[in-house]
Amino acid sequence: MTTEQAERGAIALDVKNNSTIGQFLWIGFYSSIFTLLTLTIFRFWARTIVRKRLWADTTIGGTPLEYTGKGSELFIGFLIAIVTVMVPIVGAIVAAQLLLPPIYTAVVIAVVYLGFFILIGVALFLARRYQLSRTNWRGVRFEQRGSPWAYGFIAFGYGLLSAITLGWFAPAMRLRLEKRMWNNAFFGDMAFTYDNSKEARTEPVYKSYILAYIGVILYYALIFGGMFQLGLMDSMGSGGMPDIRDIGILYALAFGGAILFLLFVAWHEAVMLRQITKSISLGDVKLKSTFSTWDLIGLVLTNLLLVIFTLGFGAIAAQMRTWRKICRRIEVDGTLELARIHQAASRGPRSGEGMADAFDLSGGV
Amino acid sequence: MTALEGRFHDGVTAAEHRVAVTIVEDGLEIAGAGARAFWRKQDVVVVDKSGDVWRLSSSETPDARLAIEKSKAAETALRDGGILDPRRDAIRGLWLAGGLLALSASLAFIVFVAIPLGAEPLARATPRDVEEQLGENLARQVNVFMRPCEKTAPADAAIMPLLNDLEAAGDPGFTIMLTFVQEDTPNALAVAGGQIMVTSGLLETLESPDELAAVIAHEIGHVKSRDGMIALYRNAGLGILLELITGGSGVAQQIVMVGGQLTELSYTRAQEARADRVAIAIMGDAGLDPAALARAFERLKGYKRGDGDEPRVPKQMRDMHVPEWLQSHPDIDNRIVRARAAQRPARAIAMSPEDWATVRAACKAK
Repeated sequence: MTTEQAERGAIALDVKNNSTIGQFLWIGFYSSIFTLLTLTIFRFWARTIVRKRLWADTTIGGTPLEYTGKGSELFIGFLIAIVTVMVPIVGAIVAAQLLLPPIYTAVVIAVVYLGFFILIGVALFLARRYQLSRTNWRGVRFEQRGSPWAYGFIAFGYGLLSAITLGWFAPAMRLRLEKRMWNNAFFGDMAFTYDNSKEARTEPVYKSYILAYIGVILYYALIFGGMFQLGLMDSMGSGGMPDIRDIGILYALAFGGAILFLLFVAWHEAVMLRQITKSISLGDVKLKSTFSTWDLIGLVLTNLLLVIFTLGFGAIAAQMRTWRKICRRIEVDGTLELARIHQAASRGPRSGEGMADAFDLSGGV
Repeated sequence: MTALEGRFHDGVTAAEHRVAVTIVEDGLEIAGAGARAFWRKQDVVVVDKSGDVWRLSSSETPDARLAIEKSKAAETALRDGGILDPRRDAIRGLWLAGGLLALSASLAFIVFVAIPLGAEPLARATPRDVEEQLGENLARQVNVFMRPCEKTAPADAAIMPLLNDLEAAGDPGFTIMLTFVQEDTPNALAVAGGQIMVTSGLLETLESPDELAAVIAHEIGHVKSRDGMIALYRNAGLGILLELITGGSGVAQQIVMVGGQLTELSYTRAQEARADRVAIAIMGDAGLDPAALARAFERLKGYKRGDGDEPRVPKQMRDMHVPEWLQSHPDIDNRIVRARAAQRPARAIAMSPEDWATVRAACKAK
């Protein structure tokens, strides 16, 4: 990049990631040990370390992203969510179970579960808001605006619709939720836009979903078929415990089924990734992904081996590899006049992803 | 005065500025086309030093970034200027490690000390009618796994006088509700609020009515001490705390869980000993021989579980007392010795042979 370009602020924004497996295996190893020593409390700092590394290894137009979050923020956010959300929920369920006649217990539990589903959306939104607010590039923060509650309710509504349509609304739901997120996302004062119009949806979203759908049906057929074959359904019905051998067979089935399942859903997942990526733009900059079905299958299988052969320590490295692959498949078209982009309006939340952590939704990185 | 080259993002726009960085007495002077800033030394933060640049910021303008290419000369300059300070990082790392370990230690204290200790006062403070309602609900849940025996009316009637005597002698503070349940493992358990269950296996294993009386007296001891309630608070406290703190994350949780279980066992031992003392007192007051408790223990100890005899009650519920560990626990011999030492001639009989036959057949009605 030349000085003139920098002053004009218009630069090419190629995305690169140069993370190395060794580094992330090491992080995975020592953070597992610290996590054990601290009765798992270190996990918030571990996640922060991973993000800092991952962000720093990711450059856009030659300048790395920077993760500015802190482990203490995640920890405090988690504690707040525990006290304000989890304790009341668990308390309500336990109290209802122990103190109310069964019929009211069922009502209380139903209400709590409904609320819980709404909160999942809220939690995901809050986690995203935190992450964007803690991402700095070229001295400017990202920002997620919009209402977490609106997102929670809408996601819940879409979820219901998906259930009613036996899953047929699910791909549309994912795209609409992405649209909702991205249309409220900012880099500094510049808004991202997400085009979910019919013309923009050029990937075979539903065609690939048919195959994925068949995969889901086959998977469950396999598991339940296996359970019936082993007579597990009967023993469960009578309150008995299935024996170890049967459980082993069931796990083997689930594992083999998962590999088979991967082949059925890989196309759809790759399609969704490409569709979502190409729908996003920032000013004149348009994104595009060349992530292929075989990329996905190869990635999942090699990640699986990585995790198995490192006895789980490699899970973080596996997540890195996914992110690295996504970065390497992104193509950026267009330039940004960076000097005209000003700082984001809000600093973002003080504390971290609380609810998502309390619900265990954060899923590693 | 040393000048270094740097790239500067002012935190106001996303533009990048080529700047000259001068290290002065009390900070960094940053100057270039369209950019000028002064960062005081005490405000400067090294945000990243892993790559081929040092990335600096200032706590006064936390979004602004200054990248300085790594070189020996630059390193010397920054170090002499007090900007790079490896010791500061090490100290921060130590503080974090110390803080986290202290936190873990206090957590361990809560799990292993505070909750076990707090459960008992909490149980005593719980209103009795709340515990009764709770006991009913719990009993209903236990009965999903251990079905109550059917058509027990004759047995219920036959055991009633004995039960009344024991209750009068023990004064447990709750109305005792005794249920015979279908379960091969010989066992009796006291759930909160006076709910006592006697398994069909126990009726077969015990050989005299005073042994049954002793076992029931022992369970009344649990009811009187509100052990069911204590266990509930302890398990709920531990369970919730661990679930919540660990957020359901794998290995560590297992370790903590195992630890939790150990304290639970030792606590339970104390509660068992207390229930034994109450049982001995009740038996004496009811005019029965307290040593019957020792005989009942002997029979339970002698009971060998056959294949397929796995108790069907989930572990969490079994924790509500006696079973399993009774057979393997070294303490059982001490308990037998203590109960035997309390021996005295009976002034009454627990029940007539006819009633005993009826009670033993409680779960055999078709």
